[in-house]
Amino acid sequence: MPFESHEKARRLLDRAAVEGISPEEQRWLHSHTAQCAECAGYAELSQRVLGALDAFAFDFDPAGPLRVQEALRRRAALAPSHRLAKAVPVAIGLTIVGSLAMYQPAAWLAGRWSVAAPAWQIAFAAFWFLPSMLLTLLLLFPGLFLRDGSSGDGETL
Amino acid sequence: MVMAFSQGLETEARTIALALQRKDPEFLSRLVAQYHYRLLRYLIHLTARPELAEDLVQETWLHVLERAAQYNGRSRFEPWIFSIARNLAIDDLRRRMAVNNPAPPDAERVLEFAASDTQSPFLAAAKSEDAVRIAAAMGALEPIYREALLLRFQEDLSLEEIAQVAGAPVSTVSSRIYRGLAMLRSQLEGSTHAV
Repeated sequence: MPFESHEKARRLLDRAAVEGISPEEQRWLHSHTAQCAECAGYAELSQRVLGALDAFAFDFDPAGPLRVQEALRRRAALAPSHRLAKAVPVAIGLTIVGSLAMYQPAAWLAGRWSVAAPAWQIAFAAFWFLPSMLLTLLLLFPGLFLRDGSSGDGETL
Repeated sequence: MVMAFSQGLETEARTIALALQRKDPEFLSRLVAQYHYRLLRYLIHLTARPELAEDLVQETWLHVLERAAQYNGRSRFEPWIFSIARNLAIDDLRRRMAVNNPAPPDAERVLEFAASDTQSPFLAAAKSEDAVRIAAAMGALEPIYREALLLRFQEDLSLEEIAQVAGAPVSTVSSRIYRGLAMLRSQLEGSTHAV
């Protein structure tokens, strides 16, 4: 049997393990190893290496996953307040800008309808400023108010 | 059948991506339980330090939580989480190395440093005669070879996925696997003859 055949067989055996080979190459390899004890030995050794790689089992602390889950819960519990801390100043800023723009038209309307200053200003705060801040928060940070339905205690990670 | 299988993987990846984006606590707990040993085994192969690997597993999950929005479910979850674990391991080892070496070394040198001053954990983990025979060679293998062998044969990642995790070209990854296999084969052959 020519030397090149053994070379080819070993290359194919390696490639079969790592990348896969075509059915035609598989047939050739099968017929070669059926006749060549040396290449059949190489194939068996390769299989033993792959089997040995599967036979390493590392000990680990069974409490490890629980510790990780607990750490994730703790981290997640901090997350909403952090998000809120970032979201509120942005929402207030945008609401103030919007309210300044609306203040003059509101004052003009109040003058036309002869509404006293404190009354229309309270109405402006209640029906314009606060709703627009809530709306801004909702639009900019939709995840902030979403709660996960699958969690019994309503915890949001 | 192959199509059904790949659709199954795609659905699984999307499910994971959606759950991560929702930060679903039940689902995250299940993922931790499902991937804990696999992550630990990967990090032991990479660093040869079981205690460090345990800490890095936790760090990895905290990063997964922080970067949940970055996983879109278009590719498998494994390469993504293993990449995070690998980067954390390299950063951690680089910090330890920096005490004696102010110049920042590349990732391969960092991983070699991890393995150089520790006792190999592979002998204690070997559960078959052949595994005992190659345990010493596993410890002596460069971490990048061990990593490539683990990801290909235990984690069943494709060469492209391994390249993504290792940040190396596919051809480099493939040559690491062939060379790693050749080294272990010659170790097993030598020890079999010696017996």
